Amino acid sequence: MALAWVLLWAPLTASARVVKDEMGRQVQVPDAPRRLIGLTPSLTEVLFALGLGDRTVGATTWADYPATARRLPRVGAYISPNLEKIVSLAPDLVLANREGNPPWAVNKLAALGIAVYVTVPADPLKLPAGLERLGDICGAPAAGRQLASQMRAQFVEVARRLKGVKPRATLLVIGSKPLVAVGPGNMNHRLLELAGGRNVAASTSQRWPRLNLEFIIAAKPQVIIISTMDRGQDLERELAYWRGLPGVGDQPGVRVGWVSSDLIDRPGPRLGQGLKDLARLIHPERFAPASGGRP
Amino acid sequence: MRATVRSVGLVCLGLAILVLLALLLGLWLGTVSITPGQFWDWLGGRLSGAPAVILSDLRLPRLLLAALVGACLSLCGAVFQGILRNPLAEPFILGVSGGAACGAVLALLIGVASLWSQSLLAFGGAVGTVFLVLAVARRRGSLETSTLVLTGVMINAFFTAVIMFVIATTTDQKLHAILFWLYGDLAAANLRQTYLLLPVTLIGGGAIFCFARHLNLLSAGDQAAAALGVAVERVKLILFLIVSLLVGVTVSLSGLIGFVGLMVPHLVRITLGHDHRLLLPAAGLFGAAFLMLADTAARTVISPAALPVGVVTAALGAPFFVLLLAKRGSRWW
Amino acid sequence: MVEPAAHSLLSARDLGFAYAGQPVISGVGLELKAGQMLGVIGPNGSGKSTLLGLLCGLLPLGQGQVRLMGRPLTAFSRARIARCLGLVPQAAQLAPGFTVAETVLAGRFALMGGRMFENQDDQAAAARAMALTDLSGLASRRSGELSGGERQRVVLARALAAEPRVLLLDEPTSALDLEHQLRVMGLLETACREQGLAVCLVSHDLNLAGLFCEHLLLLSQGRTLAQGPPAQVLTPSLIKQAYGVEVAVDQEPSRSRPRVTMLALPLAAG
Repeated sequence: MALAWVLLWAPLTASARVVKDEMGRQVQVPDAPRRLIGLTPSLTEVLFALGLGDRTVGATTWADYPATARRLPRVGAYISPNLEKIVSLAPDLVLANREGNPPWAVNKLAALGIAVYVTVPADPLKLPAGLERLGDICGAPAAGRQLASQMRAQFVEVARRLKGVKPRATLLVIGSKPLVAVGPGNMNHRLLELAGGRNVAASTSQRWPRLNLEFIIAAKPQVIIISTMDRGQDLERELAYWRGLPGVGDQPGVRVGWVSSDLIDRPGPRLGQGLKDLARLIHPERFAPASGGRP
Repeated sequence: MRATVRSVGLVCLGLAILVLLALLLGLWLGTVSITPGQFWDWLGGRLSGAPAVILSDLRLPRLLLAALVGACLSLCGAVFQGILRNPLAEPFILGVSGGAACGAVLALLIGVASLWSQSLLAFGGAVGTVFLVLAVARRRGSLETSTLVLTGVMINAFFTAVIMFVIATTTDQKLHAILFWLYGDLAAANLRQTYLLLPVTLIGGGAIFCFARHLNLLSAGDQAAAALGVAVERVKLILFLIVSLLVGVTVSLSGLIGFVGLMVPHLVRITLGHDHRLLLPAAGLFGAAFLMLADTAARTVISPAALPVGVVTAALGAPFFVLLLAKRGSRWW
Repeated sequence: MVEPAAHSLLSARDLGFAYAGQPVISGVGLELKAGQMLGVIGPNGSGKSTLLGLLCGLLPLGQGQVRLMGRPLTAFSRARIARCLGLVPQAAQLAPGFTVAETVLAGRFALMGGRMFENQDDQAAAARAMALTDLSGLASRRSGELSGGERQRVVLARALAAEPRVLLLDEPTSALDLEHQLRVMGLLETACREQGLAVCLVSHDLNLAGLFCEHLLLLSQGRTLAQGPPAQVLTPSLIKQAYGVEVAVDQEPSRSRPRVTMLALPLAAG
């Protein structure tokens, strides 16, 4: 009954097609969606990068980029999206992320007759293709192609600079207290490898392994990278902590640096920049401005 | 109040009206405002579009699930309090909900995700915990408040550890589903769950009501109850099984929602007295209204973000618990 | 209709019960006829309460047999036992929060069968029981607000409300003042005489038991030391044997029953 109402009320686009999302679900999407919602901050970034900011009608709590996205109506946090709010915004296409959004929210929206396209970000190298496809599905194929080629170019540039480099033992710190790193199966782990790092936490089995300091000391990381949203005093304190940490940061030749977590955590248009920042931190010699990156 | 057909009927009628009011309020309030006119149209089946979907497909299933879960938890609390002769006994505090959650998490882990199998394993966890609590507490002789509460706290701590271990070792995909049990949330409610829970609640609640007079005597003491004609061990076993079933199904649908079974029967006793023939139906209905209101608060207080309803009930229930502990032995119990 | 006086309501033969390997009761037998009041006396730990538990089926028999109205007790369900046999345990277990009226009315449990609510008969029986135990004025008191003696009377009233044919009582007067002791014993005596109730009463109070019971059973270390009319049981030598205490026995003036007075002599060593 209610389902019939949705179908009646949903903007009747001229035509629609059935596509397969990254989970393999069949989704009926309008040819040119006019009311879009991204259910994670990264998907909101994607929509704006595709030039679809004016067709985006809602965003999740922490979707803060680009700045204009902050003016959008909020539909709750990505882990507990407010379906009522989403329905009231009458979207004709919702983009979701399997790792971030709860399955029940996707199922329920789909059951209400709302098109939900689910992405499954895992491998950064596949992200350009994913962006291209999102551009196609959201009705901005040209912008999608351009976004993809830009990101591919960034990847190629990083690969060119790092050519023949020996991977450096690297610890990517997601949180210091408790100490959380990234494990295999995590997108950041792949990113670290692409940036010429050797993830010291690769031997753990979890995606977000909690590590103890003994393990770190034994693993002898040469580069310690703090992934953080903090700036100013908090960041300085964090850096000082790691630089002074006995057996880790105070060892000769160990470098401590930071990267903006938004750049490497969000599988969105800024991931290429994130990869570049990581690579620069791990192999600064390849990014030296004067020598043009030659060793 | 003396329990007669008339008084029980009147109380049920009054509380049914309260349930209806809570339902209407819950339907009306939410992130998206619904005008009285729209609401009227919806009641008449004339509303269409987004507001109709929000009312029919989002708010209504959630409220119905809240009502059934609230009724079940309150009934279970009343039965535990009667049998164990302890005003602080409650599925969550005793650790029975934790046991059920453990069973449900196990179901997720081994990949049986169907509602029935999950409820079955949750039931298993609940039954196991009930008898574990009884064995531990009985070993110490009588069931003293401190023993009972401490046993429950320890069992809860253990189950939380087990669930945390599962979370630490599992892949992220299942994580949300598991975290869901810990906080007690109704956001995922759909009508299919209601279809499972409705017959369980009605049959379980009806069966419990049949034992209302037994519970009156059991709350005096096992020896007194046996002397007056209650087959104590058998009745207790049946009641524990019914209660475990209700807790198991409830927890597998809504996670760990605590303190409802503590607050609701207690508030009913204060107003209507201790006779289980009044207490049980009143607690069931009042519990339904109570959890609908609590969930409405969970949906609206920090809108558009939402709280798990378990946070709301714990915020109300924990101080209530402490208050009860402080005035233990007062004239109400 | 069987002549009440000739009808044996409760009989026990060669009862035995052991707890943790230690015999608590062995070889005890008794017979309780309609209208009879039997007093069970004996020192602490002599097995009095255990005997009551065996007689009403709350404790499992080690050996022997209990027959209720001619049939083995084990053939009855708890509800059927409760329909003709009442027990007033030593501990006054009351449901917290229940009023006196509710508690007494709950005593009708076994007679109500599948009925959910009490009818006129139930109400009348409960009212009678409360009047007999002088509780009518306390009907709306909650159990938490009662004194020890009042609680004891409520438990008795709850048992009486079921209108049993056999009543087993464990120290029913231990917390009662003199007036209420007399009242309770008087009402039991009346019920025996007029309704053919059979009473088995455990008491520490030798004089009270001797004054109101026509038969006494003296237990010592789980065995029957003596059984018979008070004059035969309450003798200085039997009491000395059972309790190890010197007493003087004379006659109580109202009924010419034996009256036991403890003598303040030092206890025999060992």
